[in-house]
Amino acid sequence: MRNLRLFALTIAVLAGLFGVQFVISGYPVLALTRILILAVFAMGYNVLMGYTGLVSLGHALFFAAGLYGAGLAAYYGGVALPIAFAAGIAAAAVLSLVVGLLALRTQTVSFMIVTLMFAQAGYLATLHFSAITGGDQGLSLPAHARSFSLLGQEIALTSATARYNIALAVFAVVLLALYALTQGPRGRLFAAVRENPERTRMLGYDVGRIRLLAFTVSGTISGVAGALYGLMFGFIGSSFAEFRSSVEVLLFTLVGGPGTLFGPLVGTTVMTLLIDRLSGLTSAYLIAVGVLLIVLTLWFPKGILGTIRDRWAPWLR
Amino acid sequence: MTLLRIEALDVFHGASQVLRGLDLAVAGGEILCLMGRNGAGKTSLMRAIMGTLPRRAGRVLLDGTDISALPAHLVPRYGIAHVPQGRRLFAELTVAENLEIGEMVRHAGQRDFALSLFPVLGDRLGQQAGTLSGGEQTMLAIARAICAGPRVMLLDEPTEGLMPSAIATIRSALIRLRAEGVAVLLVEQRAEAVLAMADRVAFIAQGRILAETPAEALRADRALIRRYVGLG
Repeated sequence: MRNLRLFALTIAVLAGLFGVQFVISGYPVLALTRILILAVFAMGYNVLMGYTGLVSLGHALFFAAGLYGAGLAAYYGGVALPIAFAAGIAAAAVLSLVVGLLALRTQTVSFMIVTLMFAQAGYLATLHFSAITGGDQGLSLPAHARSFSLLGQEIALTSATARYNIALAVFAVVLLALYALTQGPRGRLFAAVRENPERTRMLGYDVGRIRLLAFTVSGTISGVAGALYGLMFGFIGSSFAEFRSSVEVLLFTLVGGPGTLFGPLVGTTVMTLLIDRLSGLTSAYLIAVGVLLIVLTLWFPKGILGTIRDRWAPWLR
Repeated sequence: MTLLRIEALDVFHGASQVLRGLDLAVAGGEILCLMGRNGAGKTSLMRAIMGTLPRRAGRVLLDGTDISALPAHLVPRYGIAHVPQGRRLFAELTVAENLEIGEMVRHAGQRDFALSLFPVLGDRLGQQAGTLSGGEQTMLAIARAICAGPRVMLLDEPTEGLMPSAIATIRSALIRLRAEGVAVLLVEQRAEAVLAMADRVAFIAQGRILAETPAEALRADRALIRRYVGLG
């Protein structure tokens, strides 16, 4: 085991998230379900931005690929939910591989612009093909796509408990997979590329392939989140493909701490709760969020967990 | 036996030619020191061997195999390791992780050997590389290169600005590498360091090798160094 303390924390967090459903009910369960799914999105983004050092402004594209891949398969294909879920993941994986092959020919600001352009093209495509996608009105998944059977048991996604536990299961799988990836040899190479791509190349590594792997893993995990979101809440719409989604996942990661395993979860939780609370107090909540972000950026430039890692807990990464 | 041979190498930086038909050979178990003034082409030669500076003409042969056309990331996999000027460590990674990155490329199993050359690193495996002293960082850069199990080592002024104790450790390590049959091409400006460990010395100026001489001859007549590079 590479980082025992981080692994212990991972297990403790998963146990805590499992146990918390027995002490909360109603809206908080729904909110936590949503936070877990969006945290998966941010964890995917973190692979690229936090661990590999590539800032994308277009990850809404991969979230949307998962969302539409799963949603359209369930809506039009009438396939079982697990198959629809797999279709969403496959769509995101293929799209991220193709976009990665093209976008990674650029770097830094150009890379940000190219990823943004791809995402905008995807967003406009969801509007243009509104006869299929439902455009900005979106599509509500039919009743048959709101339940599935597992080991002879019918599981209804209208149940908040079922949704929470499914979201938690997917979150746990992604978290453990990312623990293994980022704390192992591949994670070292991602970090090496982030710190000094030229030196990494001089040590004998194909930097382009490492970046492509990170991009594809990142996009695929974002697609997992998108597919899960669409199926859990029974709705797919073009708003999820908007630029705002790309910015939100960037902020979740920045606030929590890029390049830390739990940064995305912390960032998503803080930002989601903040927006929920502030939007209940004022319609100008985004101004308050912006001010808070500036303060956080000034005082915690490496995010909440990034700062804690640098000052007190180097294992927290 | 010659491990690294450079034949008629022409290299340009934009329109400016930095290496002009350069020829050089380093045998296994030999330390060849390359001396020359700033801008003579020493670092450019190393970068050209590693494939990060495009060659206009000439060849680089490793143990008789032409590696001139290889992409830069494949050159180390053939057994050439480069320790650049300024160390270029992965500062946020630990000592152990830096070594692991060096080792993974060829799975050479040389980590223990590298640590035996620099025992101080063994006490700092969990420490972030960026927090090491300058001498330790240089040792780590060399150890990381050794972890790949190279047959040829290129080192660009590894002792620059270091304490005498660190210089002595690095010198001992290079002598051990020579004993293991590694061909060492060392860019070095300090005459004392050159005379202490070199087998041969090549003087470079304006992208050409001016002269090659056994280090023994320089030990007998240090004026030769002043004559060729004005150092001493």
